[in-house]
Amino acid sequence: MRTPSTSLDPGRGFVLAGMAVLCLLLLSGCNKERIGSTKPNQQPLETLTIGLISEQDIFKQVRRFEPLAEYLGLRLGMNVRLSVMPSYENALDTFVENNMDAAFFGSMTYILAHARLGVEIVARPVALDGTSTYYGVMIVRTDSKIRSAGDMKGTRLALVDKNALAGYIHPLAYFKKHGIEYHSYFKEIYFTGTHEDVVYDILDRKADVGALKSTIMFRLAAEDPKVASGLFIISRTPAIPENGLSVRSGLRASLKEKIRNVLLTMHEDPEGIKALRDFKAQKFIATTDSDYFAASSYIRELGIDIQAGQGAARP
Amino acid sequence: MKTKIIIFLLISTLLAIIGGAYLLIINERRIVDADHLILLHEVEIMRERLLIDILTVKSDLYSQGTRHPASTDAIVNDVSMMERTMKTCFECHHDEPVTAALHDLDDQLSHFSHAFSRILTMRKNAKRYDAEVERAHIIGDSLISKVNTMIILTNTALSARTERSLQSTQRTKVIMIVIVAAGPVMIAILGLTALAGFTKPISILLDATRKVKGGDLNIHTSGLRDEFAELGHAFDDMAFSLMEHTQKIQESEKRYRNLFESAADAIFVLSLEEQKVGNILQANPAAAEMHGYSVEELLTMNIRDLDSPDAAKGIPFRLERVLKGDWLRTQISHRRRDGSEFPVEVSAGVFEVGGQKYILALDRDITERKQAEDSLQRAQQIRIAGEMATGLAHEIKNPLAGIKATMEMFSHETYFPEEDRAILNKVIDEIKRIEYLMKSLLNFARPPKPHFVKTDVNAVLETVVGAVLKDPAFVRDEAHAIRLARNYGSRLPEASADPMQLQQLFMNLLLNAADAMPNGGTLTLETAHDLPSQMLRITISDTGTGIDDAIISNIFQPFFTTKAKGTGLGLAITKRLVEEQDGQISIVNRPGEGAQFIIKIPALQGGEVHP
Repeated sequence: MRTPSTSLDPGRGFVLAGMAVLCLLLLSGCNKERIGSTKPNQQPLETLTIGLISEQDIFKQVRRFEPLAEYLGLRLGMNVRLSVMPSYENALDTFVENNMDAAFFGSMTYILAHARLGVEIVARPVALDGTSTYYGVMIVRTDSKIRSAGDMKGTRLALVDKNALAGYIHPLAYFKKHGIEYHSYFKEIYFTGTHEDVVYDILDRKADVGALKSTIMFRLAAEDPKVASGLFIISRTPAIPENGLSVRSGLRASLKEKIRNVLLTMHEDPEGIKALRDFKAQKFIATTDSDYFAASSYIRELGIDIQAGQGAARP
Repeated sequence: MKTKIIIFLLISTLLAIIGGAYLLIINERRIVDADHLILLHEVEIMRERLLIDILTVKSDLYSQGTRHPASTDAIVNDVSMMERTMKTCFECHHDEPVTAALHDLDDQLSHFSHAFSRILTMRKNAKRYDAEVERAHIIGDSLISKVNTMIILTNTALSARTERSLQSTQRTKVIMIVIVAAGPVMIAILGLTALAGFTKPISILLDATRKVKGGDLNIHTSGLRDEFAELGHAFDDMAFSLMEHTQKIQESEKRYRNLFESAADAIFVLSLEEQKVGNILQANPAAAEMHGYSVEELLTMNIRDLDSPDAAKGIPFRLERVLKGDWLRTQISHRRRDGSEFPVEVSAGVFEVGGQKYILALDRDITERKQAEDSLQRAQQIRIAGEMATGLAHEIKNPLAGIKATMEMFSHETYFPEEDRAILNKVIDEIKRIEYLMKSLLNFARPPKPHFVKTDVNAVLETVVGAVLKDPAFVRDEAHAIRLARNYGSRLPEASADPMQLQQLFMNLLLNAADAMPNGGTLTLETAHDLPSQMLRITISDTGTGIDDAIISNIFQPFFTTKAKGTGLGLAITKRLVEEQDGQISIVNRPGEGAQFIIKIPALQGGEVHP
C-alpha cells in the first residue's frame, strides 16, 4: 500500500509551475479595467448649490470651479453642485429661482444681491500673483489706432453685461468723464455676456473697443501670448475685490461658518492646496461687505440705484 | 543509458517547454487580439457615444430659441459629458494621424462648446446671436460629420480586424489541438522507447539471474548496451567470481573431506543436542576401521558405545570439561566390535557451525606407542640390569681368576684320581665360560672409546675374512661348507672409523651368518659408496634360514638369543659398535632364504679412494 508523499514530484512541480505561470498570465489579462465600470452607490448627501456668474466660457468656468466644489463637498460632508448663472442681468433672479445657497457673484452683482437679497460675502480668492482684487479695463487692439476716447467714435463697442462693474459700469464712467454720449458715439454697442468673449471679439476684430475685468484678460494672456501682445489698455478702474463666495441670507450659521472656515484654511491642507492650484489661486481670504464700499460708492457716483428692485441696474 | 535518460528527459522537457511556451505565446497573442478587438469595440462605442453626446448638445442647441429650451445646468452637464467623452478618446493609444485627427476633433469640439457658451451668455443681439447660433450649428454639423466618418472607419477596421482575429483564433485552435494531441503522443512514443530500453536489458539480466539461481555460474550476458552492458559485465564477473569462489570452497571441502576420510586417526563429530548428546553424527573410515564397524553403523551409535566399561564411567566428567570450553586431551580405552579393548588418545572440543554446537573428537590408536613405551621401559630395565651385572662381573672377575688358578693347579695334581680331575677340568671350563660372559658383558656395558682414523673398509673386511676362515665355525666338511662371495665396490672412499671396532662388528656378523647356515651356504660381502648420502654401505648376506618375523624386532636387544649357549650380547654389541662409528645397521629378512645385514658408515670427505 503506498503512502502519500509530502515531497513534490519534480514532474508535478514542473506542471504546477507551468499552470501557475498560465494562471498569472490569464489573471493579468483579466485584471484590466474596462471603460465604463461603475462605482459603488454613495449615500445621498445634503446638497449645497453654488452659482457661478459667467465670467468666461461657462463650460470652462464650471471645469475651473469643479475641484473647489469637490474639496468643499469633501470637507463639508455635502454634495456641492455648481450651477451657472449665464446672465449678469438675470443673475439675481436665477439665484433665487434655482434655490441657490451661495454664489460667486461679480462685484456689481454681489452689491446688488447684498442690497436686494441680503446675501453675505464670506471669502474671496487670492490669485497666484498675490492679488485679491481686479480692476476694470477698456481695451483696444495693439494694432488699432484707438488710443483715447476721441478715437473711439464710430467704432464697435463690446461690453459684458449691464450688471458687470468692469464690463459696463466702468466704461459708462469713462464715457461720462469724457463727456461722450456713448449710445450715438459708437457704430455698434453689444454685450458678449462674458469677459472672455470681449477679449476674443477684440482680437477677432468683431469689436474695436472692449471693457472687461483685468483678471480674465491676464489669465487669457498667460495662456495665449497673442492676447498679451495683441491688446492695449486705454483705461482702468481702481482696485475692486475679486469675485468672492457669498451665501444666501437664511443659510444656517453653522454651515456658513463651516464654509468660511474650510475656505480660509484650505491652503493649509494638502488636498486644499491641490484644489487651489487647479482653481488657480493661492488661498481664500476673509471678505466682508465693507470691502465693497469703494465699489458701491463708484456705482452710486454714476447715479445707479442699487436698491431699485429686481433686474438690471439702469443708469 | 544514463545519457539516454538525460537526453530523453531533456527532449521531453524541451518539448514541454516549447509546447507550453508556444501555447502561452499564441494564447497571449489571442488575448492581445481580443483586447484589441475589445478596445476597437470600445473605441467604436466611445465614438458612437461621442456622437450621441454631440447630438445631445446639438439638440440642446436646437432647443434654444424654442419655448422649452434646455436649462443651462442641463446644457453644462451635456457639454461636460461630451467633453469627457472626447477626453476619453485620448486615453487610448493611437497612431499619429489618428491622434492628430482627434486633436482636430477636440479643437472643433472646444469651438462648438464655446460657441454654445456664447449663445447662452450673449445678451439679445439678434444679428450677432443668430450669427453665433449659425456658427455653432455649422461647427456641430461638422463635428457630427467627422465623428460619423471616424465611426465608419472604426467599423471598417473593426470588421477587418475581427475577421483576421477569427481566422487567427481558428488557426490557434487547430495548432492547440495539434500540440495537445501530438505532445502526449510524442512523449508516449519516447516513453515507450525508453521503457523498451529498460525492459529488454532487465529481461536479459533476469534470465541471467535465473541461470545463476539454477547453479549455472558460467554465464555471458549479451545484447546489452550502455550502463546495462556494464551491469551485464559486472554480473558476468560476479558469477565468474562466484564460480571461482565456489570451486575454491568445493576444493577446500574436498581437501578437508580427504583429510577427514584419509586421516589415520578416528574423527568423530558428536551431537550436543539435548537427549542426543554423544550421538555420532559423522565418522571417518579410520574410525570405522579402528573399531571394527562400518561408517553407517557408527552413525547409528553413541560414543558411549565405543568406550570400554571403565572409560564409559568417565564420560560425564569429560563432557563437563568439553562443555566448559576446555580442549580435552586424555587417554582412555575403546572397545572394538569383537569386544577387545585398545588404548586411544582422545582430543576433543566444542566447535560451532551455523549457530549449532558440536563436539569434534579425534581418537588415536596408541597401541603400538604403548608397546614401544613398554619395550623401552624394558630395555631400560635391561640396561640397568646389565650395568649392575657388569659391576658385579667386575667384582667377580678377580675371585673367579683365583678360583680358576686354584682349580688348574689342582687339576695338575697327580694325587687326585682321574675322575676328580675330570670334574676339576669341567669346573675350569665353566669358569672360562663365566669369564667370557663377563668379558662380553663388560664390552657391551662399557665399550672402549673409538679411535677414528682413515680406514679402508675393504681392507678391514679382508682382514676379518682371513681371521674367521680359521674359526671352527667356518671349518667344515664339503657338504656343510660355506662359500664366500666378495663384491667390493671399486674406488671406494675411505671411512673415518675405528678399524678395530669395525673388525669386531664384522667378525660378529660373519660368525652370526655362519651360525645361520648350519648346512652350509653362501656368504656374500658387498661394499658400495652411496653418493647421495655420502655413506659407505657394507652388506653381509647369508643364505640361511632367515629370521623369524616374530623375533626380528628383538634381535638387537641385549641378552636376547635363540642359541642354546649364546650370551645374547653379540648383535647388541654389533649394533652399539656401528652406532659408535656414527653409522646405522638394518636387516632385510627373507624368511627361509636368509638374511641381509646392511651397515652404513660415513665416507670420509676428501679421503683417499681405494680401487
